[in-house]
Amino acid sequence: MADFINFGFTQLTWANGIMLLVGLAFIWLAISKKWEPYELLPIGIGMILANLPGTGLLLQPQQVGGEIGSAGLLGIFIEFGLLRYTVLPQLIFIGLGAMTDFSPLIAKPKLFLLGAAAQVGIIIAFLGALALGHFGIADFDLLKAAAIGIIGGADGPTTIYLTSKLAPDLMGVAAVAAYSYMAMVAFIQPPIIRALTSKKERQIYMKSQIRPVSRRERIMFPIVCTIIVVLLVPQSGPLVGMFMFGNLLRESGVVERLSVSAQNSLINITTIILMLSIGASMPGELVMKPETLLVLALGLVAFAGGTAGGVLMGKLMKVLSKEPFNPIIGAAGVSAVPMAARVVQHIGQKENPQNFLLMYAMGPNAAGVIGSAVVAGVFLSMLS
Amino acid sequence: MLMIDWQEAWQIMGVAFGFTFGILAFLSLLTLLVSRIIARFPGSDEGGEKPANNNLAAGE
Repeated sequence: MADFINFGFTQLTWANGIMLLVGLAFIWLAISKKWEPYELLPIGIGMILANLPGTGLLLQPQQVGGEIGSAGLLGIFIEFGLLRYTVLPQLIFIGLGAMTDFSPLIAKPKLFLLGAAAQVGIIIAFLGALALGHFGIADFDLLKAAAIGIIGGADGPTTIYLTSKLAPDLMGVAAVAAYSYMAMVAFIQPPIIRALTSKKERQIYMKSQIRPVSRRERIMFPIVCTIIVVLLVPQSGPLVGMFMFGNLLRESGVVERLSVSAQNSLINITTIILMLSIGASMPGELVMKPETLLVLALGLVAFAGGTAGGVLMGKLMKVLSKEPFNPIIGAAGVSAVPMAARVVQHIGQKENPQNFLLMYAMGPNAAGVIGSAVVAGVFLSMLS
Repeated sequence: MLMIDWQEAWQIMGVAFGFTFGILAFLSLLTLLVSRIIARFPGSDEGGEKPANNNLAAGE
């Protein structure tokens, strides 16, 4: 009887205890502060379940030799949805594609360049992680460095997809870093934008309407993008292909039910499973290492670097552009859709109340999603 | 201390950034080109045009 009562408590380690507190903090942030609640709430619960001993929830089918009835629900999600087949991030991308409007990017294709420049954050964090490995501060090799760097893409599903393939041990921490920093974009980006631009630059007025985009253009865009990008980087196909497929459902106008399902049911169900799995992939003994803090720090550097890269490219485009060009829209090149675009809109309007930069910022925002998926594809093709 | 192959690292870095930049720049030109070609084709465009700011998109 005593054994039964003490069963859970006797197995609880200090690392589990800390992770329980972290899980509770995530739930509090989601409910009280409304920080990325759709992600942080299930991640928080996943963390708590992963750190309560003796549940069997985390047992993966492979670990129990496929014995019927032995694997746990979260273990099944993690093994089949992430580690073995990586289907969950790809399903999320179908929903994201169905929710994305590429019209600003089609109307102003030069905004692609801002999304490209913002990927520099990934490279900075990649090199930073390698330097830490080189000097013996952390155990980061090329695979782990790539997995850490991709946090700078500010794209949760891409981060999860790449880390689950290159460095599964880092998957939970990297995903949490990506989603946490996305939730904090409103705090991370403004100081960097202000440091790199003058008040006069931030006040630059851009006309409030961009040209209308025809239905044909909106239909052609995902088809052409898929063919070109996947032919050039086949390993980005699972992400870019699903993203563009979702977008075609939306823009074709002939499969309304599928489009609505992708935007709602599919993405909601997948989000529940994926985020629970991410939280559950963070048992204390795996996370409570000094390396975790370094991953979080490098993720922040990656976010900041991406923002700086986008803004600096914006400054270059301002010089080269014939029309007035506000460089702060470059900050939206880090995917973080649509939070980064909203930050740009907020700062732009604060500096010049007549400015309405949101539609311009949505361009690099969407380009950033494509860019980070391409970088992930390149990393995979060169490292796996 | 890990033995990092810095030559490979620089190569990966260069290809990852250079390739991504190149692809997105190419997509930019291609989008421009396709838009111009489409504009030359007559015919109906059911669903019509829409201003490029009707949606805030995504959410992840």
